Amino acid sequence: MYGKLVNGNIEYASTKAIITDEQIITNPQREDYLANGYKEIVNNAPQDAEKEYIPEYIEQEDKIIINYKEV
Amino acid sequence: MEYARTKKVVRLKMTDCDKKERLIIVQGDFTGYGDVDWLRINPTSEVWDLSTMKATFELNGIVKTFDDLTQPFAINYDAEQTATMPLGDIEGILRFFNADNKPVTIDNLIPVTVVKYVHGDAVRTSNFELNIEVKQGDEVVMNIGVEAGVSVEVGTTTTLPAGSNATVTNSGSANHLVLDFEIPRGDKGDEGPQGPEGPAGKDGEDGKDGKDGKDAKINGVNTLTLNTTYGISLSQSGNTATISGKEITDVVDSISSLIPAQASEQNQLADKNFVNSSVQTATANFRGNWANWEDVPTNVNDYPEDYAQSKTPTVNDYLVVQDASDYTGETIEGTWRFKYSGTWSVNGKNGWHPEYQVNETPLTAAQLAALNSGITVEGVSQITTNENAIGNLSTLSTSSKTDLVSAINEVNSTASSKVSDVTVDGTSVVTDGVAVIPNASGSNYGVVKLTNSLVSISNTLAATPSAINILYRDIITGVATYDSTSTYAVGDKVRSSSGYYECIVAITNPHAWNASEWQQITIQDEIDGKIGYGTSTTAAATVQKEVTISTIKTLKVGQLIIVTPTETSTVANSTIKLNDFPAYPMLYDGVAITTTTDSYVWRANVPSWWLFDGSNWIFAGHGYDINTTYSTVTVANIIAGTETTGRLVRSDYLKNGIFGVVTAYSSGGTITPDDKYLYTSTADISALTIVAPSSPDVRYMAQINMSSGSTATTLTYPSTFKVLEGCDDVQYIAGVRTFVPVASKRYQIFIENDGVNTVLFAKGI
Repeated sequence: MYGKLVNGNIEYASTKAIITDEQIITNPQREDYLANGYKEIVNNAPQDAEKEYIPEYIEQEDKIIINYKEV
Repeated sequence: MEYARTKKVVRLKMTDCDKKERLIIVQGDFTGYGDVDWLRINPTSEVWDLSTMKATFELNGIVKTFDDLTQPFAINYDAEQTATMPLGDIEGILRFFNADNKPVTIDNLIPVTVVKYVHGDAVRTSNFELNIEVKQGDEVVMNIGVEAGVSVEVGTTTTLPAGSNATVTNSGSANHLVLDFEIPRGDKGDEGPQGPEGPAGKDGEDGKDGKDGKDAKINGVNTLTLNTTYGISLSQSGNTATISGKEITDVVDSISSLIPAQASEQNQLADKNFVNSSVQTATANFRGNWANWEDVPTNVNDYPEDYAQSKTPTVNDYLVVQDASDYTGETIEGTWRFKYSGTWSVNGKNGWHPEYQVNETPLTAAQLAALNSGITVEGVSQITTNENAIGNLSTLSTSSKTDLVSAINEVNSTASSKVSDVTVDGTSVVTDGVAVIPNASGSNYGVVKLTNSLVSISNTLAATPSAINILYRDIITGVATYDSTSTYAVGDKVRSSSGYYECIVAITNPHAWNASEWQQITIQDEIDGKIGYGTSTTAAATVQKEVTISTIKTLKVGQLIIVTPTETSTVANSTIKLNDFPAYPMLYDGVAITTTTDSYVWRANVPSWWLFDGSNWIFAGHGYDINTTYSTVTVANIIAGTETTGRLVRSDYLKNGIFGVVTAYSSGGTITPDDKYLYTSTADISALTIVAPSSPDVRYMAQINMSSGSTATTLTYPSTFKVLEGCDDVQYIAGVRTFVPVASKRYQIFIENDGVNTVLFAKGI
């Protein structure tokens, strides 16, 4: 799963195609995502579904990590 | 089998008995057998059920049952025992009745065999055969034992004084008893209650004359009482008055003599003739209307006649003088009525005297209208009675206003009987008390009637059913109404008021509608008959191929049919006969069918199209590939543009027309439509890029396996490409219609620059 951080929120990339102003890349591969500004997303989803959390994003060079803070 | 047996059979004297009602007296005796006089009752094998039978004994009208008899007549008539007629010292009398209470005789007791009947006088068999008890109230006053063989007759019956002993004396013989009865009267009873009052007695005789009364007195003087039958007569002589009785006729005559012939002021009685004369002479006759007194005739013949055709004025006659100012008797003015008195022969014209002046004031119009109004006395009385109830509403009394409101309410509730016809603008809106909304017409509003008889919408401003129907036909048929000023050719279509028609007789001279020139058709028939499909089972060697397609009603130029033969034709010059239409030749490539083309155009199980041109069925093709020269087509020849034998795809057309040069392609490369490659491959392609064509005439087509193993090919193409409708595997991503190939699928891809857009179309298998 790939995405971008836009205004503090994650904008996920489609798994079907990357659409830019110039071209459409269907069935994109990892290098296609990375070449178009997307990073791999690592989602550390909480285990206890009964509690309430808010996500916290940490953007690194090649990936975006999602951690969850308990409210 | 047991036998009921009797030693003796005896009977009472019954010479008067009918045979079928004989009485059988039996006496049982178990000691004796073989007596010739036995009555043997011989039951059959059937059960003799006497439970429904009843034995009675009747003597001189007295009916006895066995229950009534004392011993020894208490014979057991129970069915079971009787059937076997038990042995023993039993005596009795049997008489049988069936279930309907009808006497049953020995003769018709079927199971019983009567061996012998015994007739004649009874034979005494015992000291007594019957006891007869005679009761008075509950007291047994007599007990008679009747021996068998003895007849009994009741002789005299004598009532003895009360307290006497009852006696019975046999005045007959020993065998024929004649019993004379003497029965005492009962003791005198108690005195009864008093009876009702009797009827009134006769009038008594007249009493004796009374004594003479005293003389009457009048004013203290004795009077004389007369016994006058008819009347009394009073006479006077000096101081003596005499009263005497008189015949009534004398009285009447006396009264009549006192009545004068003519009444006078002193004596107002008058006889009949005088009265009649007076009545007659009192008649007043009108003698004319004269302008002035001078015009009143002096000559009697100038007067108008009376009812008796007499012109002579008589007493009480009258006339009118319009201007009586010239009357000489007295000074009068104006119009006067004159009355005649006197006798014409004596008084002449002078017998006329003014009676009163006539009112000459002319009637006003209102007065005249009032006179002609038909007012009656009753009406005047009614108005007078309700005088205070007439006036302006504001002046009416409360009670009158209440009455008026009640009247209005009554009209409101029973308008149908109270309100007469009402018209508005010359149109009736209420008829017989029923509101009727007028029909709309001209500029008047009203009910818009939508009837089929109305086709115009100009008056009603609403579409009538006919108007709608016409509009419907206009829309559904798409043709105009028949125009009697136009010409028509066969096949032309029009509509009329009754439907949709096709011309079958050319109309070169315009004229009114003639139904014989037209054939009614329907839209559905037109649709159904446009293209027909049928099969033909005609044998291969038969020239005329028959086809039946029921939806085709008429055969016209341009008719298309699809036929699937079941047999491949092997004959030349073949024809098609559709339905009942004539057979027309089949043409292929403009010529009749030959033995070479027959199997091509008329091939078993291969549907073929045929077009009718008015005189031929033209082969219009079919989808069956019968080319057998594919083997001669090679890729090399196509690339070289030298292949000319392939019927379906000629390489020169491919080269110069659509695709251009076929070349190889390597995975991961780029398709450049400008190169006009034709590529086909089943090899895996992991990635492929299509660049935009540079000019409007560039098109590209390829067959590509869009996957590498189970991974779909990463296809990159310009975002300016427009993915066409119908393209497989299209997805909307970020609002963009995107072709996203899937793995393990081979696509036919078509790309073309039409000058405005570059379109992409792909179909996958």
